[in-house]
Amino acid sequence: MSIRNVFTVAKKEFFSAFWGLYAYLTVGITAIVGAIFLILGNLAYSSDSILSVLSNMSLVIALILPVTAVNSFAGKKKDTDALYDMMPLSAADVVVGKYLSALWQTLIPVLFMVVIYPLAASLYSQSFDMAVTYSSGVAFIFFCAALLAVYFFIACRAKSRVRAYIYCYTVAVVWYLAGIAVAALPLKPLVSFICFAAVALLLSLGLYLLLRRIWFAVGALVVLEGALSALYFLRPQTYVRAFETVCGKIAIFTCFDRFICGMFDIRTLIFFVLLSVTFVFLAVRWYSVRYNGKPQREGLRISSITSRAVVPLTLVLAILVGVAAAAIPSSAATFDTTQGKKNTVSATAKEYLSGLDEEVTIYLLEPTGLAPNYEMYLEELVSSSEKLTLKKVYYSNQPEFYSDRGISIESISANSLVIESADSMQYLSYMSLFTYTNETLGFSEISVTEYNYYYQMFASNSQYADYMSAIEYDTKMYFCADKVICSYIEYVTADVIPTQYALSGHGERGYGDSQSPYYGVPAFELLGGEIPADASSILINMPTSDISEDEKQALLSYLDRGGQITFVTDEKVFDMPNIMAVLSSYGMSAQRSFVKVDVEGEDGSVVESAEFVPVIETDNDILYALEGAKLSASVKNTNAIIRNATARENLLHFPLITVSETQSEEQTVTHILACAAEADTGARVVWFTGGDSFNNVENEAYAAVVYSLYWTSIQYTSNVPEMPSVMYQSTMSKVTSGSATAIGALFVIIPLAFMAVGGIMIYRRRKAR
Amino acid sequence: MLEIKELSKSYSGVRVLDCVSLSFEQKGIYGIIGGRGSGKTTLARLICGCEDASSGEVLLDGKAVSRKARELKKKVRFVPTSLTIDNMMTSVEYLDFVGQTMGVEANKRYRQIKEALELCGLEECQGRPFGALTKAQRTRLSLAASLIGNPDVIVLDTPLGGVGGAELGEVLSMLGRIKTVILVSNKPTEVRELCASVAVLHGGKIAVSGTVEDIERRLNAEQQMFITVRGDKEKVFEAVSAVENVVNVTLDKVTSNNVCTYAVEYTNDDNIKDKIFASLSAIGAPMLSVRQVKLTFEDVFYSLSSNNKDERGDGQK
Repeated sequence: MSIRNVFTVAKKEFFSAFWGLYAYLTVGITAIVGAIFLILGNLAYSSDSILSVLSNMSLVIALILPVTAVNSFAGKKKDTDALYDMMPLSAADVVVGKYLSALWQTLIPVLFMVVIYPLAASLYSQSFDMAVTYSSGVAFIFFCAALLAVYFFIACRAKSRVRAYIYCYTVAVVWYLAGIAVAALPLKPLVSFICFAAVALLLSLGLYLLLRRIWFAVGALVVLEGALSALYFLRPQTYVRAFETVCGKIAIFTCFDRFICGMFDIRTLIFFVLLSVTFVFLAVRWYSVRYNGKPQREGLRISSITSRAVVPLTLVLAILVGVAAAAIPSSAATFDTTQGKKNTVSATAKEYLSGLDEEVTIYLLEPTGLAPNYEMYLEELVSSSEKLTLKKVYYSNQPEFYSDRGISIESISANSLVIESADSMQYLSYMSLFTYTNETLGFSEISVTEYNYYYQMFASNSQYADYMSAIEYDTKMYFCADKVICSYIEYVTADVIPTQYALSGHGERGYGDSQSPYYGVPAFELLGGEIPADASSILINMPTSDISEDEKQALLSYLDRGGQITFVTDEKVFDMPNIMAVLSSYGMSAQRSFVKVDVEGEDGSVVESAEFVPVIETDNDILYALEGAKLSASVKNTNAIIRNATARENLLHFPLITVSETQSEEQTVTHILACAAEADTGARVVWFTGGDSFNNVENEAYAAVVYSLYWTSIQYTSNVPEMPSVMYQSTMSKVTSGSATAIGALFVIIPLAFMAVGGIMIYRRRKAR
Repeated sequence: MLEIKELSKSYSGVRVLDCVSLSFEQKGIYGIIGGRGSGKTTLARLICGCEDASSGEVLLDGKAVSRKARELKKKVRFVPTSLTIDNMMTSVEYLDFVGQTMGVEANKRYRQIKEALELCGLEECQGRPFGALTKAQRTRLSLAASLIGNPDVIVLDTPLGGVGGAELGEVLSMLGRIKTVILVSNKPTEVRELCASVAVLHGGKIAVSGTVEDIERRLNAEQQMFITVRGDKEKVFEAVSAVENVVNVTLDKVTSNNVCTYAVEYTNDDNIKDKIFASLSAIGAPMLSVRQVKLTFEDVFYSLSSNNKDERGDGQK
C-alpha cells in the first residue's frame, strides 16, 4: 500500500462524491439534524455539554453512514472500479482510499458538530464541560470510523445497492438493539447458552458464505458448539448473564455511551480502531479477488492455503486483541473527564474505605448494563479496600437472595444496592445516590423522594406554573455515591447502628404520618427512662404535655453521653418546665417578650396575623448546605430564644433561624427562632420554635431545613468524613438570549446553503454536458 | 520486448486461455484477433497486469508483469473497450488523476496531459465532463490516458468499434512508430490495415499467428479448385488423380450426362492448372471451366468465429 496512492484515490473519490447529490445530502442532512438537536438541547435550554447532541447523533449517523458507504462501493460504482484495475494501484490503495474519502465526507458535519457546536453552546452555559465534550467528540469520530468500516465491508460484498442497504440497516438495527434489549432480558444460564449456540451457528454460516468451504464451516460449528456445551455442563454458572455481558461489550452504541457519561475509555477506542482496521482489511481482501476474475459467488477462494487462512486468522487475531484490550484494568485505561470527577471515587472515600476492618459485600441488584460508568465506579470503589466485595445479583438466577432478605423484586429499582456486613444489611436505591439542588426554588441537595414531592406538588397546581418551569429546567442533579455508600457501609459495620428516634407519649406530632417530614423515624417511649442504645438522635416534636421528671433526667443523662436532641415546639413550651429545664441546661430559654401568635376574633377568624418571613442562617454545621438558597418561608405562632453561653463550660450556640424586628427607625433587634447548642461532650441540642410551620411539609424552607438536620444528625454520630457531591448531569435552564436563536438558525442555514450550492454546481456541470 | 509464456487462465474451473505464448518486439502495432468468447479481452488484461494468470507469465524485458508489479503496470497500459468514469469528471481531471497514480510529477504531468490531448485531438474537450463526450471522444480520452507516464506498451481492447475509428487508426499508426501497440480486435479488416503481425485467438488458444500475408500463405498451402470437364467420369478421376501434387479428387456436381464438376485438392503448385489440362487433354476430355478457391485472412477469422459460436451453442452464423 502506498500512502501517496491512497491519498490520490481518496481525493478522486472525495471530489467524485461531490459531483453527485448524495454527498451534499448526507453532509447537509447530518448537519441539520445535529443543529436541531443543538437548538433543542443547548441553544433553547442551556446545558453543560453537547453530549445529548452526540448521543442522539450516534443513532442518526448510524442511519446516514450506509448511504455514504453504499455510494462508495455498491451498484454502479463497481463499474467505475474497473478503472482502478488499469492503474498501478493495489487493492489496499483503492479500498483504503475509498474508505478515507467516505470518512472525510462523514467528518465534515461531524467536525462541525464536535468543534463548533461546543463553542456556541458554551456561550449560554455557565458551567460548560469542555473536557467531556471534546473527549466525547474524539470518541465520536472513532465511533463513526468503526461504523463506516463495517458498512463499507457490507457494501463491498453486496451485489446490488438495494441489498447493501438492506444488510447495512439490518446490522445497524440489530447492533443498536443488542445493547438495549439484551440487557433488559432476564436470561437464565440455559437461555444464555442457547443464545451463544445460535450465534455459533450464525458464525459458521457466515464462514461458509465467506469461504464456501462446507467442511471448514461444519468443523468450526462442531468445535464451537462442543466447547459451549462442555462449558455449560461443567460450569453452568459461567453463563449467568454471560450473553448480555458479551453483547454489552460489543454493542458499539453502548460503548460510545461511556464517553457520553464522561469516561474516556482507551479500551473502547481500541475496540473502535480494531473494528475499523479489521473490516477495512476484510474489504481489501474481498476487493483484491473481486476483479481477479473470480465471480462473487466463489467468495474468498484464494489459491494458496496461506491466503485462504488470512481471513479467519485476521478475525481470530482481532478477537484476541479485543479481549486483551478489554483485560486492561480500568485504572490504566479509563480517565474521568468530568469537571467534578463524578466517575471517580474521591480520595476521602478511598481513605475511609481503606480503614475498614470488617468484610462488606456490595450487591448490585439487576444491573442493566446501561450505566457502564456506574459499574466501573463501583469496581473502583471496592478496589479501595480488601474488605469490600462487589457482586451482581439477578432475580432470574438468585430469587432466594431477595426472599432471604425480605426484599420484594417489585419494590426495587435496577442498579440499586444491598450493602451487607455480617448480620446487618441495608437496601440503597439507585436514586438515593443522587441529590437535587435548585437555587431558584431554594432547595439544596435534597433526596429524590423530596424532589418528587416538590415535583408532584408543583405539577398538581396550576398556580405553581413558574415553580414547575424552574424545577424542570433549573434543577442540578448531583451524584453523591461516595457519601451515601460510605455512610451505609459505616451503618452496617457499626457496633451500634445510629438511628434517629422520636419521643412519643406526650401528644407529639404525627411521626408515622406519611405527610410528616419525619416519616420513617421510629417512635419510642421513655418508659423507665430507657433511651435506645443505638439512638444517634432523638426528636421531640410538638409535645402537647410536658415530660416527667424521670424522662427529663434520662434525656439529660443521654445528652451527657454525647447525645443529640431536636426540640420542635410552639408557644405552649412555656407550660412545660421539664422541657424548658433540659433546654436551659444547654443555655437556651424562651424569650417571653417575643411571643407571636395569631389573634383570633370571636368568630374564630384571624384578626391579627403573626406570620412573618425569617432568615435561615447557614454559617453553621447543620444548615451549611442551604447557603445561597432562596428559601421563602413563613413562620407563625412562635417565640424567640434567649442564649446563655454560661450555662455550662465550652458551650457554643448557633442561631439557625432568625427574624429581625424593627423597634424604631434606628434600632433593629434580631430574634432567634431556632438555635443549636453544642457542648464539649459532643452533646447537641437543637431547638426549633414555631412548630406549626416546622411541621408543614408545604413550607419548602422548613422541608429543606428538616432534611439538612436529618442528614447532619445521622452524620454527627458517624465516622464517615464529609465527601463532596459532584454535578451528575446538565442543568437545563431556558436561554432567553436572542443571539442563541440567531446562532441556531445559522447552524441550519449553513448546511442548507451547502446543499443549495452543491445543487447549483451539479446543475451547471450537467448543463455543460 | 514483451513476451507471453504459456499463459493460462481459468474462471471457476472453466479454462478461458490455454497455454498462450506470444512475443512482441519493441515498437510496432501488433494485433490479437478473436471472436466472442475467444479470450482476447482476458489476454489483454493479463498482459497489462489487470488480472493474474492461473499459470504462465507475461514478461516485459524479462520481468514478470502482474497485479502486484505496479511499476511494470506503469509501463504496460490498458485501454479498455469502453471507459467508465464519473460523468461529471472532465478530461483534464481524469488525465491528472491517471498522472498522479502513475507517479508523474506535477510539472511533467501537465505537459504530458497537454501533449496527450493534442495527440488524440481532444484539446477542445479538455474542460468538458466525461458524460458530454461522444463515444469516439471517450475512446480517444482513454488512449490519451494510456499515454500519460510514457509507457512502453499500450494494449487496446477493441477500441475502434466506435465512431472515429479511422482517425484513431492514424493516431495508432503514429504511436506504433514509437511504442509497442497491441491492438486486440474482433475486426480483421482493421487488423490487416494497422498491424504488422497478428495472432488469431480461438477457444483460448492461438490458432495461427504471423503477418497477415504469412497467415494467408499458410492457409492456402493446401488449396482447392473446381474444374468442369466433359468426358467419362472414371477416366477423368484417373487422369486428374495421377497429376503430380493433386491430393484428392471428388465429384462436386453432375451438370449433364458427360459434363461434371470435380473438386480437386492439391498442395501448393503454381502450375497445377497446366498439368491437369495436359493430363485431361491426353485422354480427350476437354476442361470447360476452372475456378480456383483462395482463402483470405478474413475467411479464416469468420470461419473460426462461427465455429466458436457453434461450439458455444449460440446457433448464430
